[in-house]
Amino acid sequence: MSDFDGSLSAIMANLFHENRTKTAFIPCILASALIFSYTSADLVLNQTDLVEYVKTDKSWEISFENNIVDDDGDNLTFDFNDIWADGDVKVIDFFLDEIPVNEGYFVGYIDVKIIPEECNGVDGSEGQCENGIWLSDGGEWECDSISATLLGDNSSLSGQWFDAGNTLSGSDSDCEPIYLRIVTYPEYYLHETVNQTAVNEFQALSPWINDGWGDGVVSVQVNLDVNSYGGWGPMDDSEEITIQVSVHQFRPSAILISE
Amino acid sequence: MAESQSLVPVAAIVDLILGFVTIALVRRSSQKEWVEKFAGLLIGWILILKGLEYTFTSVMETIVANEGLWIIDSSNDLQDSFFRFAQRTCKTISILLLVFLPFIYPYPILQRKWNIKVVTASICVLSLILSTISILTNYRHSDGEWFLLIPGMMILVLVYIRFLLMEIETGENSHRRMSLVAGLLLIAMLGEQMTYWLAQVISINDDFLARFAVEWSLWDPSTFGWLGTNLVLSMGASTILILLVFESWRTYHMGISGFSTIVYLVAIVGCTAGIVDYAIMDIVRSCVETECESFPAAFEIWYDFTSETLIYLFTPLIFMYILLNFDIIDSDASENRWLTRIMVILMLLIVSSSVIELLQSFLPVPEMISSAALAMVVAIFIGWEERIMTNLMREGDTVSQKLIEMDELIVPKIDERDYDIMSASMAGTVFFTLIICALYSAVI
Repeated sequence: MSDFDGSLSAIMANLFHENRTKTAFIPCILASALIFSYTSADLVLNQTDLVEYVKTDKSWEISFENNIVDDDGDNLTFDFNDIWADGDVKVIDFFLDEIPVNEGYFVGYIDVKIIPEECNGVDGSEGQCENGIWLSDGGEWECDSISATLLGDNSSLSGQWFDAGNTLSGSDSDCEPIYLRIVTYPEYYLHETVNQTAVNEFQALSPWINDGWGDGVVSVQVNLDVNSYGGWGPMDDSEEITIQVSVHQFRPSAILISE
Repeated sequence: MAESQSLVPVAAIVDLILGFVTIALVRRSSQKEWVEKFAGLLIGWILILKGLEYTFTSVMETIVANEGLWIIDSSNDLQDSFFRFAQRTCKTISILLLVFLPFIYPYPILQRKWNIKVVTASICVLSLILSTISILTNYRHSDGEWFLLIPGMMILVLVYIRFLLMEIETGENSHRRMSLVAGLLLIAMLGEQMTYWLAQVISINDDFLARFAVEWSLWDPSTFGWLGTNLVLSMGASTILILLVFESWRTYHMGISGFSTIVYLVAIVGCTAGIVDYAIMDIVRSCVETECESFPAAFEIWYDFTSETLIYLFTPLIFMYILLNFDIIDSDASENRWLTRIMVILMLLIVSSSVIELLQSFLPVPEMISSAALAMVVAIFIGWEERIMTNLMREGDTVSQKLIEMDELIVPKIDERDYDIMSASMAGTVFFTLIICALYSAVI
């Protein structure tokens, strides 16, 4: 006649009947508990708070350190000078892959300055412009008509071709320099600080650390119409044009302002 | 080269077919002991629930045109969708079925005539309570369900150790069948977690969990939920180490067996995965420290072929093997034989073709070659059908016969209607919980 009655105590007694089962089973359970204990401690003490912190949006102030890409100390990236004849229409290319953008910096915008020969914008130039006439000790010249345009699209220069801050063309006949600008980096507002919400510093900075903007060629088309003045002074049938290109680079940094 | 395909729809089909066929065959196996019949029903419902879970997952994958659930985040419409709630509800019920299975099979801890009633009622009530709480708390605590698995795992490990030691001591083969089925159930339940065992032991799975918590904005577990996830990973790690130690000891005394080979393979996969995981820790931590970097393609392929294949393709095959080899269903009965054969060949063909497709996803194998390979597999299965069936349904004691011989099982007078009530109750519970999901997704 069987003694086994199917009760829980009888079943457990059967399962643990052999001592060797107990001897083998208990260390297994202890080892399992040990694994669970130290991994749980790591998880709860080190990871859960971290994840909570990481998943919480914080406010960051993004500021920009700016300077001009310049390898010879003249505060210009490119400097072009040439004498053109009346009626010349020329396109001058400046290749940006040749310039030394610093590590951690990105090209924010590019300024182009076109300076006529008579212009007081050139260092050392002495004289004054009155009613379109350049007056200096060497004589009088009528200011020439110059127009300049930044040519291209994102296939030639990667930038913000439709940005409101751009000045893509200009003209002058008053012996004044022409200033052009193209913003290359998206959402870059020329040195202004911005506030950003993000879970960490990297993601706060992520809009301003993308490579590829400002790559390509800056093409400046200049149209020249030399005006000859009938007054006192030498005959004027040509023009010396100076083009100065300043590539502005920036490095973003983020400061935590509130958690 | 084809694109990498998701295994989830295949797993859904395999699990659903196997589940329904299992329940049909159990209903026809009236001569079996209550242990086999009840275990068969539980396994059948586990497979159906897993099949439904994978079906809803597939629908979500289709919706977001992506693979896996990595893509579920607050930026898409799945957050409050019926499919998300239904998928998680089916998972909850399948976990509850897994929780109670070790109390019945292979070594019944509950041996009373009210067994089926109490277990069925517990599963149904807990399903309703837990799935509702999970929906209302946005699944923050739902990973804590894994704590319920602790008693079942302890029972299976205890049964495995006891009968393995008895086999080594007495040299009697029949003991092996008990330790074998307990070991197979452990792999079927925790196979995925077993493939992460080294990463868990050296505690780098925590970094993965932190990454996933950041990456998947919908997975926002509470501390209890975190611990539940860590618990199931720890159970997987410790059980594969226990199996490894005891199978090695058994191999030393009795020689190597097929199950020992499977355990060694899973252990090797887990070891390799741990080393690979350690190698990409910078990428894993990128989510927390900077922004999430994608895993390398080779890493994804590795997991497609190891953990995912084990979860989606081999787990149903392990259950099928248990059903047939341990005679849970009466496959010898003439009215069951054709259905059993169809089921086996269908399962093997689906799994084989999926593996071939998976291979084709990253190897530059022309489709002509893969078609030829599939044709060869079909020919082998048809040609060796008899041999495959004989091996699967190898003669041997059922678990209950073994326990009755050992005078450790009583045969209470269980009302035959209890089995039908169990199936009806499960179907009702699944239907009712899905209605809750549909209503909740409609009103929020």
